[in-house]
Amino acid sequence: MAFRGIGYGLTIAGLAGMVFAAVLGLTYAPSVSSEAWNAPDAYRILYLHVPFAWCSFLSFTVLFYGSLMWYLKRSEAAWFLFQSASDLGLVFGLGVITSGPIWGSAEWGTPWDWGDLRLNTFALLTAVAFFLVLSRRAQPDTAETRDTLSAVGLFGFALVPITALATTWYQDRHPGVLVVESEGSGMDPEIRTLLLLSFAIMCVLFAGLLMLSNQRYRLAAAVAERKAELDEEAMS
Amino acid sequence: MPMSARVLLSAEGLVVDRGARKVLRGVDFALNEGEVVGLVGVNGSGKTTLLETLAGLHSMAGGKVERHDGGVPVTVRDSDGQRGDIRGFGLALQSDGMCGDETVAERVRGACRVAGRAADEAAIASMLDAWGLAHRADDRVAKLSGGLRRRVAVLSALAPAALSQEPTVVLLDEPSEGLDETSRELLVGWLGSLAARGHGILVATHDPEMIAACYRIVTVSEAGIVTSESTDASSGSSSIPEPSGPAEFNEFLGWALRLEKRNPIDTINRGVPALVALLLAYTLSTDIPRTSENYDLLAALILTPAFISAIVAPALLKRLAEERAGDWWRAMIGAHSRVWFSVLGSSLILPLPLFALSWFILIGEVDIALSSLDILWLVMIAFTIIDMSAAATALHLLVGDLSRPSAAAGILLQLILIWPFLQLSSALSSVIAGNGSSELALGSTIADIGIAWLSIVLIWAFAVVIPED
Amino acid sequence: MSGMIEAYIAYSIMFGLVIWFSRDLLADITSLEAELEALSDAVDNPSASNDSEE
Repeated sequence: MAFRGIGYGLTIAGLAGMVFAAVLGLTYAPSVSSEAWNAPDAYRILYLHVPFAWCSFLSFTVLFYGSLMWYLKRSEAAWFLFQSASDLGLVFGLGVITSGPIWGSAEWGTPWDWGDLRLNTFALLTAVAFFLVLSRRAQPDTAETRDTLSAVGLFGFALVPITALATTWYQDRHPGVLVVESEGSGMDPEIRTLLLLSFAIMCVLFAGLLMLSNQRYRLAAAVAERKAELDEEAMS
Repeated sequence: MPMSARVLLSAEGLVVDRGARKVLRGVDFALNEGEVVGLVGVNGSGKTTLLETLAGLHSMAGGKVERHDGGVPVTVRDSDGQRGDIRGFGLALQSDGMCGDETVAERVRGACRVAGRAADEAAIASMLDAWGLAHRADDRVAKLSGGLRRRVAVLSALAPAALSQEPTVVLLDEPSEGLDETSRELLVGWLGSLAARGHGILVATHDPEMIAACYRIVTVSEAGIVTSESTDASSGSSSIPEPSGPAEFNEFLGWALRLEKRNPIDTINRGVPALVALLLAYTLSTDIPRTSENYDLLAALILTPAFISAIVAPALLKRLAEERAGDWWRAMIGAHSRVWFSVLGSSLILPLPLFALSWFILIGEVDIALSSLDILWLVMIAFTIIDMSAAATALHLLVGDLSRPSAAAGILLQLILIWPFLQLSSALSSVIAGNGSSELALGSTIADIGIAWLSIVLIWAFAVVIPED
Repeated sequence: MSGMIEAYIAYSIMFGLVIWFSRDLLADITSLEAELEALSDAVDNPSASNDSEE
C-alpha cells in the first residue's frame, strides 16, 4: 500500500503543481513583444504544450519498453506498462494536438502545417494510442491479441525518433525544441525557467499517473483471474 | 407431456432451396404447446434449414410458416413473400448470434425485452446466477470463453419463455454444442420446466442427452421430408423464474446506440476521414481566391467531408455480421428489419456538425449575407446528406447479403451517390453566390435540392424494398 | 488579437484531459477494489453485484 500511496501523492502533487504552473504561465510569465508575435499572449500555451509533448514522448517510450518486454519475456508487468502507457499517450497526445493548432491558428493563422513533420507525427502517435486503447477494451485478452497490439506499439515508437529529430531540422512554423537548445537560443531566461519548472511538474504528474494506472491494471488482472476461477467453478 | 394439443407454430408444404439444392420438399410440421420436440437427422439433412425457416429467416419456394399466438394464425413467412408481425420468441442459432460488445446481462435482458417481456433485475440476476454467469453479468461477451458464451446464447433463448405468461415458441439449434456437462443438465431441466408451463420448444440436435429429453422426435432425411415419433421423455425440471407481464420495447434502437457508445467505431470511422479531408481542403485551398468563378469548387469542398462521412461502411453492419447477430435480429424484427438496419446504421447526426464546420472553416473571405432563406437551404442540404447516408447504408446492406461480402467491391455501388452530391453542390454554389432561389425552375436551388433528395429516396427504396429478406 | 482567449481555451482543454483521466483512474481503482473484495467473498453461488464494466 505504500507504493500506492506514492502514486496518489505524486498525482496530487502533480495536479497541484500543474495549477500553479498554469497560473504562473497565464499571469506572471513575461509578455513577449507585440511586434515579433501576432498573438503575443497565445505564446503562453507553450508552458503546458511543450511538457505535454514531452510526456507524450515518455508515454510512447514506456509503450515501446512494454511491447518489447512482452515479446521477449511475456511478462505481465510489461503488459501493465503497455496498458498504462497507451492510456497516457492518448491523454497527453490529445493535449498536444489540440493546444498546438489553437496556438498555431492564433499566431500563424493556420492550425496545421502539413510541412511540419512534428505536428503530423504527434497526430499519428495519438491516433495509434487511441487505436490501442479502444482495441484493448474490445478485443479478448489473449496472447495473440497482446502480440498484435504490441506490434502496433512498436510501430508507434518508430515515430518518436523521427519527431525528435524533426524538431531540430524544421524551423518553419514551429518553434525549436526549447529545452535542448543551448544558451545561444535567444530565449528569455525567465521563460526558460518557467518552462523548465512546468516541465518538472509534469514529469511528477506523469510518474504519479503511471503508478496509479499500473495499480489499476494490476487490480483488473486480479479481478479477471478471480472471474476465471469462478468460471471454472461454474463449469464443474 | 403436452398439456393440450394447441398448435403454437406450424409449417405446411415447405419447399426450401439452399443454393442449387432442394433441402426441404413439402415438409409439414407443427409445434404444440407444452412439448419439447427434437429435430434430428444426419449432417446436411436440413435440420438447421428447417429450424431457421421456422424462425422466418429463409425464403421458400413453396408453403408457409404460421404462428398461432392466442389461437389466431399469423403468417410468419410464405412463398409469396408475405411476412407478418409476430410476437417475440426464443431463438438460439448455431452461431451465438451476439455482437461481442454486448454485456451478458444486457443480452439476456434484451432478448426478453425484444420478445415483449418486461425483465426485472431480480429475475435477470437469478437466471444469471442459476447459469453460473452472475460474476460475468457486466462483462462484454467478447471477453468470455466459448463455453460461457454458449451459455449466454442459450439462456437468452430460454429467458423470454421463462418470463412469459403466455405459451411461447423456443427454437434451439444445437444448444448443447459447446456446453459443459453442468450446463447441459441445467438445460435439460429448463426444457422440462418450460414445457410444463405450456411453452413449445424445438431442439435441433444430434446429442443423445438432448434427444432423451424430448417428448417427440422429428427426423429430417436427405430426401427432405420429415417423419415423427413420440418417445417417453425423461423430463427433468429446474426452478425457473416467475413470469412477468408483457411489454413493448424498441430494443434494437437501444442496442445499436449502447454498442456505439461503448465502442464508438462508427463515429471514428466516419469522422476521421471527414475531418482529415476538411483539414486538407482548408490548408491546401488558402491560395484559391474566394471569387465567383470558384464557387462551384468551394461548394464541392465544403460538401466533401459530410459526403465522406455518409458513404463510409457503417459499423452497425459489421456488428450484425458478428456471429450472425444480424440473423438473430432479423428473426426478431421480422418483416421490416432491412428498413431498420438501413436507418439506424446510417450517420444520423454527424453530417450536421461536419457540414457546419466545413462551411465556417472553408468559406473564408467570401462576402455573404445569409438570409433566413439561405439558412433554410443550408439546413435542407445538411439533412439531405443524412438521407444520403441511409441510402449508402442500404447499398452496403445489399452487398452484405452476398455469401462472401468481403470479396465484393461494394464501393462500385456507392458511386451512384455522386449524382445527388453534384446536385447538392450546385445548390450550395448558388447559395454562396447569393442566387438562392425558391422558384420551381430547373437549376434553381430548391429544384437541385429536391432532385437530389428524390434520387436518394429512390435509391434507398430500391435497395431496401426490392431484395427479399 | 492578443491571443489570451486562445491561451485560456488551450489550458482548459489540457486541464480537462488530465483531470478527467485522473478521476476516471481513481474511480476505477476504487470500484475494482470493491469488485475484487466482492468476488473473493463469493463462494459457490457468486451473488456479487457488479457495478462496473472492465
